[in-house]
Amino acid sequence: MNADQHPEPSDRLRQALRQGDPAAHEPGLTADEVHTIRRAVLTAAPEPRRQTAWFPLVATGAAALLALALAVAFGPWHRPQAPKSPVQMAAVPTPVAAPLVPPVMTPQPVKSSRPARRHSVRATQAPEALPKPPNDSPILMASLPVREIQFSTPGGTRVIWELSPKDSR
Amino acid sequence: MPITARAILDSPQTQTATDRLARLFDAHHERLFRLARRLSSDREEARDLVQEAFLRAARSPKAVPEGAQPEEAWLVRTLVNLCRDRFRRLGVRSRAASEIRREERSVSSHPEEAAVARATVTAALARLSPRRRAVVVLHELEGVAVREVARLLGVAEVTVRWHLLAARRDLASLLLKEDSKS
Repeated sequence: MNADQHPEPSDRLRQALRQGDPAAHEPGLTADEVHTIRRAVLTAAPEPRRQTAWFPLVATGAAALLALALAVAFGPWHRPQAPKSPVQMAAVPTPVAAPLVPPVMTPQPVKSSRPARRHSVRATQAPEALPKPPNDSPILMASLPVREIQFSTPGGTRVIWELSPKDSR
Repeated sequence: MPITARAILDSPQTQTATDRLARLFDAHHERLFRLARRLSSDREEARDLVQEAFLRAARSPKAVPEGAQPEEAWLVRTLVNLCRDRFRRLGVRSRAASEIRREERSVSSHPEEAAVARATVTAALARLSPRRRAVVVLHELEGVAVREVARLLGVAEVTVRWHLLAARRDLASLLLKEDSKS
């Protein structure tokens, strides 16, 4: 017996497989089948088309949003704030001041806020003498107007200057 | 010029994608149908498998690599994966015995020798798992080298050899026993 009469098992297997090859004696796809499948495949392609179809909508929406933002920022209703002056000044005449009459000061005993039982109240001292009023007549001073200059700084501090005739001398 | 949906659909990019898909189909549908026919039990199933493989390419064209050989390998892998999905879904493994019995009954009504051999081989191949069946079909029936089978299926050569060894053992117990009987 030679090798041709007793081939290897793998060769016999291959031969058996090829004898019974399901596709060996069958025709391939017919022209109609090819056309049908091809059309089905190519019409299934619009998947990427659908992905790009939203582009005009998104572009339009983005443009509208941009226009709206620009209108809000630079529209006619937008008024730029006038720059604040660093100092606002006002000269307001103040009403005539009341005549300066020094109140009569009566000596009062000094009261302690602490409890009396802990510290005995010491003997009160007589208050110092009040300063004498100026030589100018209070009535004359009161007759002259006192002018105020008010101004506020950007930080909010309000400064009031009182210009009295007495100081101007 | 305003941008319209029609302009986008007719853009060169879209046309190129469609053209590429058409070229892919024209170049590979015959070879893919032959493989599908060998991997499936009947002609209708093979046609469905081919269509589904190309539909996958149409749905995700970026997944298909450029070049004749890579795109062919991609299509073959997709086809084998589809066979595997169908195999799992239909429980073909559990139905293999009944299918063989059905084939034998149909064979008995067709005494032609070629029909007998075809039915026997189809039934024997149906007992293999889809990947192993693909290895056997590509190597034994289509004559593709082991290295090329590995490239097409995206597996290592040693894996292909291991599948071939196991498949030959299984098929020999079915086909060569039939030969010895006949």
